[in-house]
Amino acid sequence: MTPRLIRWSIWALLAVPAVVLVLGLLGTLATPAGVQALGSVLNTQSGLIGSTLAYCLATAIAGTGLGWLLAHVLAMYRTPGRRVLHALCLAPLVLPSFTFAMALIVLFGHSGLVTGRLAPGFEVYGFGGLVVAGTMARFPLAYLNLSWAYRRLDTALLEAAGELGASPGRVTRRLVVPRLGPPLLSSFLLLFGDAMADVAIPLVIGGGYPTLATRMYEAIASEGDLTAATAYALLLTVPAVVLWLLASRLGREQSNPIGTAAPRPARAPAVAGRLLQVLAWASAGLVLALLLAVLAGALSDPDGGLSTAQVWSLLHGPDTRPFAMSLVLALVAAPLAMALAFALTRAASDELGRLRRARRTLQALAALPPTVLGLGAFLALSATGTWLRDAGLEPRIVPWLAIGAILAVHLVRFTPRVALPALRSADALVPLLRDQAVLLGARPRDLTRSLVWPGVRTEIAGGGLATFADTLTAVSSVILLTNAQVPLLPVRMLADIDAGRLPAASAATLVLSGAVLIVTGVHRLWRSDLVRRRLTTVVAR
Amino acid sequence: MSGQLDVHALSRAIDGRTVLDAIDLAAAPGELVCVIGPSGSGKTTLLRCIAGLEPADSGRIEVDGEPVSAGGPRRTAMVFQQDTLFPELTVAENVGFGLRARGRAGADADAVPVALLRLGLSGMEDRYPDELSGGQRRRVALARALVLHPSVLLLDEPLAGLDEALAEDGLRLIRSTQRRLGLTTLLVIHDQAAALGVADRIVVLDHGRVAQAGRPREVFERPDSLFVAQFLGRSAFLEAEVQQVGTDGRQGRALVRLLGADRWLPAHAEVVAGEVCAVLVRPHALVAEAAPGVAGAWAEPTGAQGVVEEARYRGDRIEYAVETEHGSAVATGSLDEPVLAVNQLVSLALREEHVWVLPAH
Amino acid sequence: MSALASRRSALPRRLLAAGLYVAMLAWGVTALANTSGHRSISVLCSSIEDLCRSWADGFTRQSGIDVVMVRLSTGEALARLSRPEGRREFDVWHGGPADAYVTAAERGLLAAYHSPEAGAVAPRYKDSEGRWTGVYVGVLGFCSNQLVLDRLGLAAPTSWDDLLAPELRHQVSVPNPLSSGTGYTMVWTQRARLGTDARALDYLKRLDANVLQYTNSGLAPAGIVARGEAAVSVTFSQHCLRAIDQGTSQLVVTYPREGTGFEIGSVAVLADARDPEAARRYVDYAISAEGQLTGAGAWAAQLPTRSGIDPDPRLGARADILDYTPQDAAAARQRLTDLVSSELR
Repeated sequence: MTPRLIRWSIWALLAVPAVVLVLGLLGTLATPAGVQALGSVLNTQSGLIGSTLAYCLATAIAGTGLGWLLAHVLAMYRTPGRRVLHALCLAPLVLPSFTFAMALIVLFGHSGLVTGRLAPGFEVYGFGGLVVAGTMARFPLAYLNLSWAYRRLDTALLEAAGELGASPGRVTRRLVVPRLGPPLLSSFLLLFGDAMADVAIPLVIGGGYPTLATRMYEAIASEGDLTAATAYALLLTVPAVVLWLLASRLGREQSNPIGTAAPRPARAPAVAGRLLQVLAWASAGLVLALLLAVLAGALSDPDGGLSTAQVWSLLHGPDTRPFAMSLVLALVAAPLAMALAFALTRAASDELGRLRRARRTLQALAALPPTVLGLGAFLALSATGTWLRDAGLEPRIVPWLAIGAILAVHLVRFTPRVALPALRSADALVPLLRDQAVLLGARPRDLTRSLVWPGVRTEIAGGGLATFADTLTAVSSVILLTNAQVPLLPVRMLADIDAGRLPAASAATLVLSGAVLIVTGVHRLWRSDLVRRRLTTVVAR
Repeated sequence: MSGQLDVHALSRAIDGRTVLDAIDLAAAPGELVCVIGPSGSGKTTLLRCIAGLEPADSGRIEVDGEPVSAGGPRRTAMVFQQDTLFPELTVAENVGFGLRARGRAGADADAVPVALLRLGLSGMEDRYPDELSGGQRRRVALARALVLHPSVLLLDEPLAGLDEALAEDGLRLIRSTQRRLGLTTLLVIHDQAAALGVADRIVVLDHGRVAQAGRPREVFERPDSLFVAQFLGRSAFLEAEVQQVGTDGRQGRALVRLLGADRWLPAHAEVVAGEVCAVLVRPHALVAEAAPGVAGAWAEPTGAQGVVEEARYRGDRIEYAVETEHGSAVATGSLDEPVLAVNQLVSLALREEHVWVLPAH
Repeated sequence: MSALASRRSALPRRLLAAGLYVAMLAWGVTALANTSGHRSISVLCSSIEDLCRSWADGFTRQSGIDVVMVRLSTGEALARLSRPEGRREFDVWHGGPADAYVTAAERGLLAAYHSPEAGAVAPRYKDSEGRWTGVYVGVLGFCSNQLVLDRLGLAAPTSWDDLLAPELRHQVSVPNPLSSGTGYTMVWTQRARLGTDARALDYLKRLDANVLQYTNSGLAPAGIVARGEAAVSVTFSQHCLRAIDQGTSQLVVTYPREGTGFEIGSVAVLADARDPEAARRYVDYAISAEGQLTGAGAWAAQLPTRSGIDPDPRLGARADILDYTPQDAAAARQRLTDLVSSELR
């Protein structure tokens, strides 16, 4: 098999599902009914577009602001308990996206633990609560982006300015802030796009607040209206792709977040700094309170006492199926994504032009909103089911098709996320290093293996871990694909919350985050040689 | 594997611009040859061509009689000016990279630890490049090259950016290692004084051409051209007219009236009688002493006299910029005498064997 | 040399890591295998989860056949069954109002089966062609939290217009008419009592201002009111009674005096059932006295459709129930849901 053929096969593995998903969408939309649906949506639902934009804008601004605040405080000031702060900032990444929405209801709902006693009448449902929940769920993305940007600041320059007499405030304003422009903007765009695809949080705490994503979901789940759903999906996809491409042009892909160490600054803060520190701790406190609320809910029993029955029932007995299914799918999806990313990186990294093209293709793929991918998979699945039925073939295969569809969605979504940092690492092999390696006797085709792999391996391992966490807690992308034989725990949690069974949902959160922590431990054990190293400095070169 | 390097008529043009112009260069086994020249004179390109990274447009490069071009294991090893340690590999992995690439890792299992030990890097095997200081990184790069036992070692400004003390140590290390291993080395270096001190031979490049090649003393004291004279060390040129040319059997000489006397001075072969010449006078060749009499502000020095324009204390010596009837020069003064003042009249003594007469074109 | 040594010592750690991973995978796969074993049927249930589960348990105990129970609200269930790949997913549909079953029957999704048990069910509670059979009756009513009402200074509502009170802003919990059978029943009830689409829509729009959230399922509103998140909910009274019996004593059930809607909770064998024989046995069980009494005692019962069973007197048999048939409600379904989806949020 020639290298070229190998390369094409590897790309095909990724491209085929992606194309199928997108074609499913376009195929439905390209019919007269589809166009009509699109027209009617645009005409009658312009308010919907406006309200979606409002939500996305508010969440993106708040999330970027919060992320900046925490990154700034942790990077610039000597803060006690910075490791705890850093961990709290990363916590939302291992939880289902709507966890905080759920916790907000537990604490601040009409009969919440806090408002029930202190402020009855306080309204957490609706736009306000929605934005808070959305912000809490996604600020870690901005935090990591900005944290990385701070790490790359030339501290020598800042110290020199300080020694020349500039006050800390001045240094911050004149030297630090301008360099943060691009990362801030790219974080904003990232969060904006993420909020657009959000189905779960508005469903839980929106109080009926309409968004494109939830409408799309309702169109399928409640009304069975496929054409309207694809119209909504198109409205979701176009801006999302634009946003992501803008964002990727601004910021470079950073290495994968899980496993980064807390920053270690040396300065003690001035007055303004202290204020920022207080704010940062307050936000972290909110996160902590929300997490504790979830924990309390998970361990409570109907009589108000402590009981692990809820948690236990998810792990043992007839009700383990949703968790087991989610777990197995995630455990399978992560290595698959890693393998595919590995193969892609290998195939692409021999030649610089190929590398750039690969990165651009993957960036485009990564731009597709997960909700839309899920819809595409769902349409493909429906069509296949119909075809099987018409052909009289055994439909016992349908559950396996659903599993395949879920895996395909995960692969298309996450392989780029794993591969892009790895490709970036491969790209760091500047021509001079190649020359040096060739001089030392390396054959050109061995260069990638001997020079690039060590760094690429790190990125892929980290990416695999992130993929596991994300596939385990995914909702928006798979909410349409789950069914009787293929139940998924996060989707089941949504139903639990809707029915008021918050303790059951909290217990599920606990179990899911436990699984993520165990796999994080696996990652640490496997890459124990890297515990010493600071991962991000390598990519910074 | 003795390490004879021969470069014949090497030429290379990049984007239409001639970078190397018929360069001839030879290095005997075990020699340390320093290549110096102004920026843009083609030093790095020369090294890259010898290393085989860039093709020569014409000419021959041979190591031990074998042409350096594609095919076969390279017998040269090059250390670049920029940091080219592989960031993803540890120190040990970096140093052993070439061995592994050539499949010799097993046979030369001790090579890496020994190289690290020699260069003072023991204990850093598992560190990554970003954990090392600049100086340590240079040593790792050097170790990586040495471990391959090349026939010729090419070093492109290995001391650039290091402060004086570190650079001195580095140079000493290079020299001692090179001597001990008997390794033919081509060293591109910026610091001429260092080059003079350490090289077996010096090659001066100018706009892609070899301006002069020879032993350090030779190149310094008997430069072939005004360019080389000016480029190496500090120089001053006194104008005078050549009355006669001749030879003393070993060395060409010219009769020149300089500083109040007719002198037979060492001269370049191309000096012609009856023409104006430039007499190279370096500070150590001219000695200034206090002279009786006080010079006025507009006095013109005559004969062996000079007027002090500036006094410069150098720590281990004192130098005076003096104005003579032939032009300005720098003279050395005695530390045991009081410091001469500006505008003071001084008498100048010429150490004739240390000057050099060049044609004035 | 120590790079090599550290690689060696990394091996046991890597083995441990790999072992953990494989163990998790093995556990998951085993759990999946265990839960998908012997003969089983898939039941799509549109009633309360607890009730669904007790039905499933009861049937399994009686017949030995496993039941995979999936709960979807009526609208979602209907949508699911209407899709080609959803059809062969389930064997039985149980729970949810008959008007949805009428629609399903029209779409050819239900199989005709005259269960021997159906003899005890009155004709108006079942499909003449045997495609669906009613197994309980629910009356639409108001379930209110007395404590919250006291705080707001209101009495329990006894009229539909009481729900429009300004004090009840964001205090009314109502099911989503698009996804929930209960929700649609509420919409249909407005149409039935007010006479025209326009007036019904007008009422719903005014009600919309007071609605906290449109819940996905019909029984969620009772839970929300029980927790005190809302003051009043519109739901079938059995859900409210269930909550009361479970300990939320501050709940109170009332009925609107203008007349209210009702549901005939039904059961049906699905046309594309994988195991039609087991499905029929399930339907037999659901219609039987034992099936209809399931949940009596521990949970609030529902009004039975069989004659010969005494109902719980609190269940609104005395309420003013509007006179319409499930077919009426079914016929208007598409029209009304379109109207609601475009006019309300």
